[in-house]
Amino acid sequence: MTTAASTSAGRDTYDRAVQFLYYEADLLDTGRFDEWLELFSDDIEYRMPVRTTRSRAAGPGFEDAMDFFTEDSASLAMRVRRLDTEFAWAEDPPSRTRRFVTNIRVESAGDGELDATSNVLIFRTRGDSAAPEMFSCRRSDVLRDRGERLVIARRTIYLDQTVLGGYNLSIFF
Amino acid sequence: MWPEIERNLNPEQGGILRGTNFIHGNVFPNLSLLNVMLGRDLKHPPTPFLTFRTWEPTGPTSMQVWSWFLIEKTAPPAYRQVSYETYVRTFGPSGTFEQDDMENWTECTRANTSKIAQRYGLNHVMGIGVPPATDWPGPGTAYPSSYGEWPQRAFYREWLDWITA
Repeated sequence: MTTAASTSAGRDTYDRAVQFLYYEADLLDTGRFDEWLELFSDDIEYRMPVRTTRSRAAGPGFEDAMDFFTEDSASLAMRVRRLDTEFAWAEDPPSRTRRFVTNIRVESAGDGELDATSNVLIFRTRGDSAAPEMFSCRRSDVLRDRGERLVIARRTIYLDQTVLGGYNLSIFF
Repeated sequence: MWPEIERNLNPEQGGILRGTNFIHGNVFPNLSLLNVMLGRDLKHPPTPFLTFRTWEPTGPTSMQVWSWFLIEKTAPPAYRQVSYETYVRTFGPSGTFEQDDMENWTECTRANTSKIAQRYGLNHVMGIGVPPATDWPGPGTAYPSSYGEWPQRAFYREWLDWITA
């Protein structure tokens, strides 16, 4: 494995993972949340740790014990199902989002799993405000090969902000 | 927590606390608390959790909120985890309730900067004239309904005392 290559998993596997992550971003940007839910394994662990500002020696500041998101399949389903009700005021009218997914790196992790990392920039506007809210993050995913398709078995979202770049977190990452 | 409650409250006061599931309040000026019981997903029954907030104004129309989750040190690990998950998913920054509240507060603030809104005072008269409950064992004053603006009036009364002292 060379550290500069974006994959050690082979060109075909890399392309497959990239297409999958682009497809996922498109589902979210077009509000197809039910289809998005189907991209996760039943044992999904979906986390966004809280980040604090720390001295260089103390590391990047991600907290183990506190998350902005700490989700499993039943709670992700709750969040998506809620969007279909008339009570999800934070997303009705919905946010306009655009996800820019770049710097995708894919490594084989054994047992039909892939470690995939990606950089994601989310541009979001609401109402008649022209000023966007921006969320920048690094995602670390475990993708599982289900034969005809990949699923996300684990996702950890590492934000580049300690104070949120928006007034709520009513969108997915 | 019960030994402390029994030590510091009389049996009547402790009994009210024991029978109260939903507690929300504010310690003047900017420490708020919420103790509620909610579901953490589509499958499980509701679990209680306790959250504190501090509200730090960062300008006339902006606020930075610190949101805390609290749990007894001695609570069983499985319960700590479930209570924590319930907090994150309902009243944490991404929580299903919190999302909507942020929308409300942001829009209220925006609307109140308008020319027309600036022309009028805010109306906080709900519940005025309703006498306090006579069977409240104290401390403090209680009213026999959740629907009233006694807390809002108490907040601004205290605020007035502070800034005119």
